[in-house]
Amino acid sequence: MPALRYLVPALLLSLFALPTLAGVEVDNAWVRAAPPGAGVTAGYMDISNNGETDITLTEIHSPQFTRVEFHRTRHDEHGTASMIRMHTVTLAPGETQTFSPGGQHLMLIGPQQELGEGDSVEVIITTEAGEEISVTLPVRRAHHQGHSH
Amino acid sequence: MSESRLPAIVSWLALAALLAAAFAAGFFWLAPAPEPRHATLLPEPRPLPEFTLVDDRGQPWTREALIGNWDVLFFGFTHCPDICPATLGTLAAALETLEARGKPRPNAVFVSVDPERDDIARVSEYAGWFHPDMRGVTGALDAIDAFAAAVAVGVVRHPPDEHGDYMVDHTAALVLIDPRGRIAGYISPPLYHAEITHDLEILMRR
Repeated sequence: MPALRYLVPALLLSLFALPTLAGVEVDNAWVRAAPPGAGVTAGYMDISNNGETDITLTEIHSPQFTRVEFHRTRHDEHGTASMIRMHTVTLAPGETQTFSPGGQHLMLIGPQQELGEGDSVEVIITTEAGEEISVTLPVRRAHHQGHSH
Repeated sequence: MSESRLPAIVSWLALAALLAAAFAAGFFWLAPAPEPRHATLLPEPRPLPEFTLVDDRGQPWTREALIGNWDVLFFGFTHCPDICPATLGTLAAALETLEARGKPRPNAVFVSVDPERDDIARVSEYAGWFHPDMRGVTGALDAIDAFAAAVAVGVVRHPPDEHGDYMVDHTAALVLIDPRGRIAGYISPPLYHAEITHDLEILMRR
């Protein structure tokens, strides 16, 4: 069985290759469980560029939602919150951008089915260079986050 | 001479006793109440004008509903993906913590500023998902805008995008209404569970 001798290292290599695809690393990814019928929810993550050159994220989609967009919640000096769509997100080498409640977020529009805690959402992010980054975001109720502040 | 000095000493002692009593009274009764950490309280609570919205049972929701208990109002809309569920989730967690500690809780009310998409059933289900006691209210567009303006909450509705979706900008602060139905203050974002819980607990003692 000489093939087996190569299979294991090949599998191991593929495992290690996953998180550094396109030099991008994603941590703390989650999607907010939304009330039934909400129609929209938000996804959050820390996304880092471990590479040597700028990485621009140009497209994002999910098979589980009609549309996904990069957004930013902005608070003006009067305390008014508004949402700004970001058409692209650029990560400089070594930079981490945080998508977190009340700030940058993935706006997930039109769920194909209701999602609850324990489900997960798959999003595919395309870079300007045409590479695809697949991210799995577990669905959570945000309550449990509240205590970590 | 000694006859005239004795009453003087007595009156001095009486005065000293009075001062000590006043000091003690001041210490116990006039000691400043614990201050909120995060909430901004108005120097003078501001009364609300009359208004008529609609509650989650389809009944009129007026100023009377805000009398006799502390209320926390949040203005938002159910098509809001980030700040509305984040705020309502944090507020619900604070209510749960107060409940778990056996403390009194304020009423929590979600006021939809998007009556076109948010009908009574929708706001009611939405608010109740965060906490069973959280109420959703809505109403006629003009009535909502007038009520929002009365509590200094700004609302800006944007034109629909190419998909027909539209955003509504709104003040993201929690509005605190005292048991006399007056605006007592605000809690502005970012909202943290521990701070909100602390501040609500203090307010409920007032």
